[in-house]
Amino acid sequence: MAEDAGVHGFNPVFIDVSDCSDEMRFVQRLYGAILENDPGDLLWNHIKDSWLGKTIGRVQKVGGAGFSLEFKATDTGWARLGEELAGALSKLDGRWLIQVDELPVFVLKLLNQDESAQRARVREFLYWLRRLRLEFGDVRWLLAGSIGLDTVTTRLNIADSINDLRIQTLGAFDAATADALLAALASEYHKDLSATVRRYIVKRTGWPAPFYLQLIFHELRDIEGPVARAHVDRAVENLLGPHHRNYFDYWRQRLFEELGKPEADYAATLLNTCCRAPEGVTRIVLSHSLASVIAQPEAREEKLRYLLDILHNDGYLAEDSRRWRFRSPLLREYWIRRVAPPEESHG
Amino acid sequence: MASPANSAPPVVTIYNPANLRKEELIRGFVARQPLLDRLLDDLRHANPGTAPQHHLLVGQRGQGKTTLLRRLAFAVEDDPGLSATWMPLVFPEEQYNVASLGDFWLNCVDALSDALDRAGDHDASQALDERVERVPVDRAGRSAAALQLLIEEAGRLNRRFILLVDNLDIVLDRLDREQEWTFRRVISQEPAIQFIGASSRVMEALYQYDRAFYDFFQVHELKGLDDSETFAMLRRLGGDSGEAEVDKLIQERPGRIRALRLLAGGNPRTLVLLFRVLTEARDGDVQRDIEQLLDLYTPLYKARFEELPAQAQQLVDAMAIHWDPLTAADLTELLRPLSVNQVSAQLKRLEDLGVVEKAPWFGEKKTAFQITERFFNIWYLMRASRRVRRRLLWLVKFLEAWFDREERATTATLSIVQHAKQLVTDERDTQFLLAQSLTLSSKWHEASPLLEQLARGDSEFPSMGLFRAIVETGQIADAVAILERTGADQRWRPLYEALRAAGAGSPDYLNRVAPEVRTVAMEILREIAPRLFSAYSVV
Repeated sequence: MAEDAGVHGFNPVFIDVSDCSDEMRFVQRLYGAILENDPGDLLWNHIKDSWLGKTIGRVQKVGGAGFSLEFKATDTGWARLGEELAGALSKLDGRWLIQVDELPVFVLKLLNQDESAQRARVREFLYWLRRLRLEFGDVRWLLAGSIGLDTVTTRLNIADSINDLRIQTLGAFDAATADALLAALASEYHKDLSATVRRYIVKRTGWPAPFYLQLIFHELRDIEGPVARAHVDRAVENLLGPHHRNYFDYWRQRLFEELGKPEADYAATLLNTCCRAPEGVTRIVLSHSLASVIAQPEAREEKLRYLLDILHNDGYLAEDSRRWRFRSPLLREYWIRRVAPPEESHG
Repeated sequence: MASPANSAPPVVTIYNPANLRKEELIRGFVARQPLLDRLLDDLRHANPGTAPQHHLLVGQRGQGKTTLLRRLAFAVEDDPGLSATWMPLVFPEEQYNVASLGDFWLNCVDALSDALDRAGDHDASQALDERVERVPVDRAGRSAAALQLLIEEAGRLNRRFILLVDNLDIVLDRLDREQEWTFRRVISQEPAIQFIGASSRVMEALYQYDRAFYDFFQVHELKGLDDSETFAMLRRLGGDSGEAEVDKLIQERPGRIRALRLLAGGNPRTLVLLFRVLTEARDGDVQRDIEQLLDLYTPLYKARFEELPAQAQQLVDAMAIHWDPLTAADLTELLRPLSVNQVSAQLKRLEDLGVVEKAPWFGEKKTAFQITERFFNIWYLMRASRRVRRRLLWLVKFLEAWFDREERATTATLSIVQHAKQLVTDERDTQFLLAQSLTLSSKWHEASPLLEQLARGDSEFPSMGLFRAIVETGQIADAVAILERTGADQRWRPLYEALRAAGAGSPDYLNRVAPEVRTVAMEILREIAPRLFSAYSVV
């Protein structure tokens, strides 16, 4: 994306904010990335004598490859730095593409410090970011995350803070693309992966997201000679084992990060119900599975609608012929083995 | 179609629909007519050679399950086409004698014998009773023989049986898993048996994948009636001669009926009683109507409460007086020295009895509990101390004013000038307008004393514009404090809770509030903090 951005006349900037602990760190990281990617130092020359410039140390990197930036401690809150950043964006030359990865993780981090108090803080931050997006037409934004930012903002009742964004869900590959990826990986690692076996991998994945295709492929890399279907079965079995828990468990964890309690518990109940039924589950059965925690049918229906929207939107469940089932058979298998309570007492 | 209610006034019972005579029950049956029509239609179209789709009605007490089952039996008996094919079998409301599947099939045979006897076929009834005497006592033999008897009788009579089983949960709870599967196998293969059951709760057996009745029944959840269903039901109850009178009442005082429907939780049984109260006192107010309705319920509710063990009564008392949903931990605080384990065990027992239910909560991971039958909670509050009773009466007044306000607003749109004149001559409204203007002009320091003065007054109903301005200008915390200081947090409780929800930034905050308060509080929140709701439409 960054390479393509250059071809189309954009200066690309990329930051990952998953480890930023507060707004100040976020703004500093963004500021730093813009300054580092400003080819003519136009921005730096403009601000270096200002209050802002005085808060930034510019240190020549070892080896002479550009600068690294250090923000000096200041008592001023992030709001002032945020305003300065807005001003700075207006001074940029040309068109810019700012890519912010894992923004929802950062937002949840702000929120989880103390939900009741931080709600207003998250709201203020997201409206500030929206203002930046709306005010500077030459700066385009690409916000990404494995958790739906729309889900988080809806939960906080601030969905209008992102209503200028076009939401693009990155789903699984189609069969041809999945096959091409596997063929490319086989070629790169010199593995003998026949078309039949590639199709079988795609079939076992069920929902061929690139992450899972790569996981299975890498489980197969140590096979000597031609890879057989039995190897694929063993690889899948291995991936679902306890030592690979981290590959799937984030799906469970993010429910709690994204939804908070008690909604995450309700969502887990729905997933526990769905995982048992390979043919999928009707909506009324899902509603009944929530009846033990929400007795009133009207309140239950409202909550069910909300949760199914989220579970569908975030890739957990898909609806087909009026039945809800796990989108990924691998995740369903993982859920049965590692998350759902034993069958006798599930629900 | 079943016959519509005629012009005679309905006879209603709040105790047991089984005690009503046939014509009385038919006359009072108006709330669940569409579902009855649908079930009858399914019977008409059932393929004779295959097992039919079985049905289950789920709904809390008073939602009309038992009445619907009985009404269905009469409708089948009265329809020559249906009765030529189908024979309804009616059971006692609770089948406590069931210890195994064989007992259940024997109950079916007994019900058949009763039906034959009622139909005048005494010989057949007696012959059947004699054959029952010869059914083996061992579990397996008993089940097979009783079922065989039933199927043979269906063949002999050339009829199919409709098993109208109330409180199915009691029956299923007494069967082990193996018997559940046998039960399922029989009714899913046997064309002679149509099963229509009812239960006051959603059983685990309906949604656990490894259970026999997972996704098996067509489930119909009976919900409380909404405003338009209530109006339609009252019109039907009015009958041919009374319809015009009921129409007039609905047109003149819809707010009165809406407030009462809200307090009754849309429960059809209560609303049938309401009809009686409304037609007896056309010029009454909501408080009087409620008092009369509650009087009718007193023997039932009193008996039901007294049936509970002492410790369970303590819990119900605390929960009913608290009124809002509360967690087990909060309840334990109220019931010291009872331990949290004792409280949790009692809650579980009361939940199984259908007296309390779990409800969604806000902001914490705990589950909340509330009294299931909301009108029982209202009854309890009215019988409590004067202080507690006052909380409820304030709500009654607020609801009446709220719904009347909507009516006034509708009328006012017909005469805007008249409405404007009223606004400027009404001192209280003028003060609200002034406070609103001051708030919007960033003069909260001048607006807040005005609010304090208004909140101390005897106004039943505040203007919403001021509170919308308060939310927009971020003065919520101050306003909440003023309402608390002046006691308006109780007198204007729905508004107070809506303000707190706006402060919490989420409509879900209202999950902490009793449903009777929540409904109007939610409407108020939509008015004073519309932004909280626009967010919901995005996903």
